[in-house]
Amino acid sequence: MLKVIEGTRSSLFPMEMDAMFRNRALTFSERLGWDVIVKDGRERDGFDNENPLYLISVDPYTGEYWGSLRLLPTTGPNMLRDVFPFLLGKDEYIESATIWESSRICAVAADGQPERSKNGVNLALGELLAGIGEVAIIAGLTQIVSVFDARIFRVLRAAGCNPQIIGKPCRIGDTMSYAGLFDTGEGPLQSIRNAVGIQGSVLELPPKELAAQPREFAFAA
Amino acid sequence: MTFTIDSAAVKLTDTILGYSEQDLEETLKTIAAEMGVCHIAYLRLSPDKSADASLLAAIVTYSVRWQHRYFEKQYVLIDPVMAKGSKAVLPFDWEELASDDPAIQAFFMDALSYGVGRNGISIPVRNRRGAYAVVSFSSNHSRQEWEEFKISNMVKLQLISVLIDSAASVNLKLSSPTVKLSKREEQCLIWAARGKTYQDISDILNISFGSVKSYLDTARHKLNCINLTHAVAVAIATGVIPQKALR
Repeated sequence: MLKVIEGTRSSLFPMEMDAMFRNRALTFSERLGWDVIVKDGRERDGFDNENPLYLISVDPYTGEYWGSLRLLPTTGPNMLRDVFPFLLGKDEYIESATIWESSRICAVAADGQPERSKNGVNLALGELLAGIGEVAIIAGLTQIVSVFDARIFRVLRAAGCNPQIIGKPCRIGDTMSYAGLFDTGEGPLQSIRNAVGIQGSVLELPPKELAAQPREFAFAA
Repeated sequence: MTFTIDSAAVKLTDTILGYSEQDLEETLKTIAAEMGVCHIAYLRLSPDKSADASLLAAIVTYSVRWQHRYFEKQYVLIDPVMAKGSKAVLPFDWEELASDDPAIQAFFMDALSYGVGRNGISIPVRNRRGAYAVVSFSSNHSRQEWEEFKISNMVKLQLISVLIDSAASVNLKLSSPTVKLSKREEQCLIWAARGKTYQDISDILNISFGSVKSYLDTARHKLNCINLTHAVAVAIATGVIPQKALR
């Protein structure tokens, strides 16, 4: 199950947020050796201050953290524009109200890891990608852009996302990095769901701030 | 239930490029009619401020009567679109904002009686400089029609919202400083904004204490302000004194 957490509301989810920052440090600094800033065992960057939308996968029974990702509108500050612009050609850029950027996708490893779905995609990653598909429909998006390595490229393909590489892949540190786009909408969402074996919604949306009844009253005219 | 955005895109692009003679508010009225919604409202918000200070600019198609009432009743302190607009990332339906709070219920009821519309959705917009805005569309569709409207048009609502944000940014910039200060008035006001006293300013500019006072008074009158603090705030907010003059 995915929690959908806006950056400005993250203080309401201290456990989920802390588990996410710790897992990001483990995944990106320790396991993948990326050049990211880790402080007190937690990885954060400036984009975490730009009110991103987090999707956090949790065990539906215990609430334990399984995995997470971060979405940023490409009309505002984002990683491809501000950190990795060299991945795109000269005069190429991605900036659209209907394209958001996904970054920092990760899931817990080893024994905490839930069973894998039928095509070998980690269940939490599959759930996160299905979640992106759902959020994209809610937000009126047409595509998701992301900077990823070969590992995530394989996950995206296996999960039915059909990513298209754009610009020119570059070596960053020890990792070959790609910028890619994939389509969103009812069709693409269904293909992700089919690939990862998920039926129906994976989102736990924030509770409506109010039951329908008083509003029915307010708008009875 | 669906509409095409071509015409709206052309109109807004004309405003952005400066080709349009029409007032942006009038353009939004035309676009609202083409989309089949009652109203469009553009709010530029400051994310770090409390609700009463967060509204930086507004362009709305609501009736003047409703705008006056909103101001009079200080609805800015109650309106949940204001509170949520500077924090949200996802579009939000006004139905999510209704609450047990009788003040909010009364606000929505009052808005309905002033023709704002019975349904609304607000689209948060981020622009290049990281500024926050929210564009709201309200309608009198039945609940079911409204749900269908949103599902079939969400992509277009996003696209129109970002165009409205660009058009408003251009529009607001063009209409900013209308007050013209004399060189001395401007110098005195800038030094006052930098925290200097009348005596300091008199020493710095090498003019009499009385002259400083009279330049600041005329500047204050031109800005239509009740005291010097007010005048400095308005001068900076409207760009009469450029912000960089403070450094």
